Amino acid sequence: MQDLSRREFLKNMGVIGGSGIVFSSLPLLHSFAQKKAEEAKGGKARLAIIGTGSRGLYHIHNLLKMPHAEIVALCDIYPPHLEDAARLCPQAKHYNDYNEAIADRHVDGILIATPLHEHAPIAIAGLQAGKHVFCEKSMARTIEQCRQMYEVYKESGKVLYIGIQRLFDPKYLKAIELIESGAIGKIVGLRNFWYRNNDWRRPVPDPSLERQINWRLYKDYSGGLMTELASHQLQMGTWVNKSLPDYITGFGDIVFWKDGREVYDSVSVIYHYPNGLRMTFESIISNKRYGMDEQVLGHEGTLEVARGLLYRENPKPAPGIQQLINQIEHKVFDNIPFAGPSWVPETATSVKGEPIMDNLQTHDGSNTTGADVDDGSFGLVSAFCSSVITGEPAPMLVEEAYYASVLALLGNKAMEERAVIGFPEEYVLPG
Amino acid sequence: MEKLSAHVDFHESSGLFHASLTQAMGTRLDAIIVDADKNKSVRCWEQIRNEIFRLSKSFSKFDKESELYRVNQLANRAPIAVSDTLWSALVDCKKYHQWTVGYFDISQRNYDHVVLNTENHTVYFTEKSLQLDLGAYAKGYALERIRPILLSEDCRCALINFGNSSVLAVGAHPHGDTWPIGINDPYHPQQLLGSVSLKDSTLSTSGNTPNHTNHILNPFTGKPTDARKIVSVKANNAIDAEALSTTLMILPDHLMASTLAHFAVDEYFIFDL
Repeated sequence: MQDLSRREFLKNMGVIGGSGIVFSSLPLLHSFAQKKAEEAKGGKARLAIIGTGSRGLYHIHNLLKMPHAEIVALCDIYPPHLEDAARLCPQAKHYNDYNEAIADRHVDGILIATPLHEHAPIAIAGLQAGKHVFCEKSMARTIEQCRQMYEVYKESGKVLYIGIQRLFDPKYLKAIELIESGAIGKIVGLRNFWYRNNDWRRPVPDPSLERQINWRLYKDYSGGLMTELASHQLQMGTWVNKSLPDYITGFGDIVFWKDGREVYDSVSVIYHYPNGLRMTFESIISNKRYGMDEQVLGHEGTLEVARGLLYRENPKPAPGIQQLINQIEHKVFDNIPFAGPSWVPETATSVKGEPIMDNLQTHDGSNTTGADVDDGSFGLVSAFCSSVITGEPAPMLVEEAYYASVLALLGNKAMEERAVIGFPEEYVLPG
Repeated sequence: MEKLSAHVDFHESSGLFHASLTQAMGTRLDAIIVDADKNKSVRCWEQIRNEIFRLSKSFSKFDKESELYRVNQLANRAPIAVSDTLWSALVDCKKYHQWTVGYFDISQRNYDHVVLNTENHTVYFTEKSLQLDLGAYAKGYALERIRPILLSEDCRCALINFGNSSVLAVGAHPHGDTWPIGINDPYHPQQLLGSVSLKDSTLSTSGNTPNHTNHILNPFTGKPTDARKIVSVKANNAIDAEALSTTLMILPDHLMASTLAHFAVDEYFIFDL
C-alpha cells in the first residue's frame, strides 16, 4: 500500500478518471490508518493545540486517552479558554501567539481548532515551518485559501488532516460498502439536512468579545451553516457519486434569528451532477423536528446514513418463500412453512429500517461541540497522530476535505449571488 | 400499475424465477416458477401482474376507483350494471351461499337481499345498509385465473402464494413429488400445525391471528366465533377451497356433512388451538 502511486491507487479503487480528480478513497483509508497505527507503535506525536475553545477541549479529552499522543503546547488568544486547557494538560507550555507555538522545537504537529478564518494562515504557517497539521473542518474561510492550503500541503511533504470525521465513523464506512455492493441499486438522489432549534450562540462575558466568541455568526470569520455543518455532509457527494457537481444553486436567508448575525439561519442548496443526480443540503436552526441525516436514495433502497438504517424498496421475500428459494437453489426438498391466515402488509409509515450494523452508535447532530458518541473524531485524530509519527499522509483525505469545503463555499456563493453557478475549472485539483 | 410495486429475480442455475407484488388486494403475492426458459416465466409474470391489477380494479372494497366500491355506494338506490368479471363473481357467490345454507355470505348479513338481475347484469341491494366484501372469494378467484396463464405458457412447475392464505401449486417441487406446505401456528410462530402436500391443487387457510382476531362473522348472528382458530382446506379448485375455509370457521357441526357434500375437497383441517 505504501508504495502505491496515486494512479495505481485510483485504479485499485476502480475509479473512473475524467476531467480532474475523481475518487473514492475511504474504506481503504480506514485500513490504511490501522496499518499506520501498527507502524507508529511505541512512538509519540508531540502536539500543540491551537485554539482551546469547546472543540479544542473535545480533542484534548480524546488525545489524553491515546498512548501515541502527547500534548506539549497549548495556544489561545482568549485566556479563559487557555486556562481550561491548561488544567487538563498541566505539563504543556502556554502560548498566545500561534507562530511561537509552531516554532516550539518540541512540537511535531499542530492541531487547529480556531475560528474558521484562522485555519488557512495557521495551517500554512505550520506546514511551511515543517510541522504536521491537523485542522478542523471546514478547511478554510475562502475557496482561494482552500486551494492555497492544498498547494502548500503538496509542496511541504508534510502531513495534513482536515477534521472530516465521517471518514472514520464505522456506520459511514459500512454505508459506503453497501452502496458500492449495489445494495440500494442505482443512486438517484442524495438528501442532506441538519435541523436544530437554538440560536447557535455562546455566552459572552463582555460585549467587546461578541465577535471573538460568536465568530460563527459573522462573515469575516465564518461561512455560517455551510462551512460549519454542510461541509461534513457534502463530502457524501464525492464519496458516493465519485464526481464533482457541474452546477450549484440555492437560497439562504435570516428567517428567525434576527439578532444582528450576518450568516443565514436557513439555507437550501442544490448540487447538480453531470449525470443528472442532485445532492441537496438544507439547514434550518429554528426547528429541530427532523434532526440531522444524510439520505442516499437508490432505485432499490434508501440509506439513512446518520441513523445507520437501510430501507428496501421491495421488502425481502416472506420467510417461507425465501426458504423455498434457498431449497430449490440447493436442490433440497423439504417442507415449506408459510400457510396461514392472510398476511396483512405493514403500512409504509410503519416500515422500520434495518440497522446496517451491530452496535450502531448514532447522534442527532444537536450538540454544537461534538457528538457524545464516537462519531469518528477519535479515530481521525488518532490516525493523524500515527501519521505524525510515521510522517506519512493519509491518501486522499485532504482531497476529500478540500472538495467538501469548496462545495460548502460555492453554496454560499450561489446563495449570495442568487444564481446558478458552475463549478469553477480553476478549483478542480489536477488529476 | 401505479399501486403495485413488484420485485422480480431469476436464478440462472436452477431456472428459478421469483416475483412478488407487495400490494395485491391488500396483501402480497409471491410467484415461484421453475423453468429453464426464463422468457416463459417472464411472460407468465407479465400476464399475472396484469390480471391481478385488473381484478383489484373490480374487487377491491377500499379502492375508490374500483367497481365494487361503486356498487357498495350506489346499489342500495337503484340496480347497478356491472362488468362481466364482477357479475360472474357475484353469481358464483350465490352458488356458495346456497351450498353453505347461507353461511358463506359476502354481505356478512344476508346475501338474499342482493338481487342479481340475469337479463341485464345488474346488482341491487334491497336492504339499504348492505356492503359486499369479496375478501373470502377474490384470492381464490385470482388463483383460478393464474392457473390457465401458467398452463398456456406450458409452465409445469410453479407455486403461487397469495398472502400465505391462498396457495396454488402447479406440478411438484423440482426436487420432490409434491409441494409440501406447512401450516404455521400464528399463536406460536416457531411451531407448525401440520403439513399439506399439494400437486396440481390448492390450499386455502382462514382464521384468526393474535393481532387480527374476529374478522370472520357468522351472518346469522353478526358475531365472530372463537371456537375455531384456523381452518385449512385443500381442494382442486382454489375458489372452492377459499369459500369453504371461511365457511368452516363458523359453520355449525350439524351442517358439516351436508355442506361438504357439495365440494370436491381433498382434505380439511380445523384447529381449535
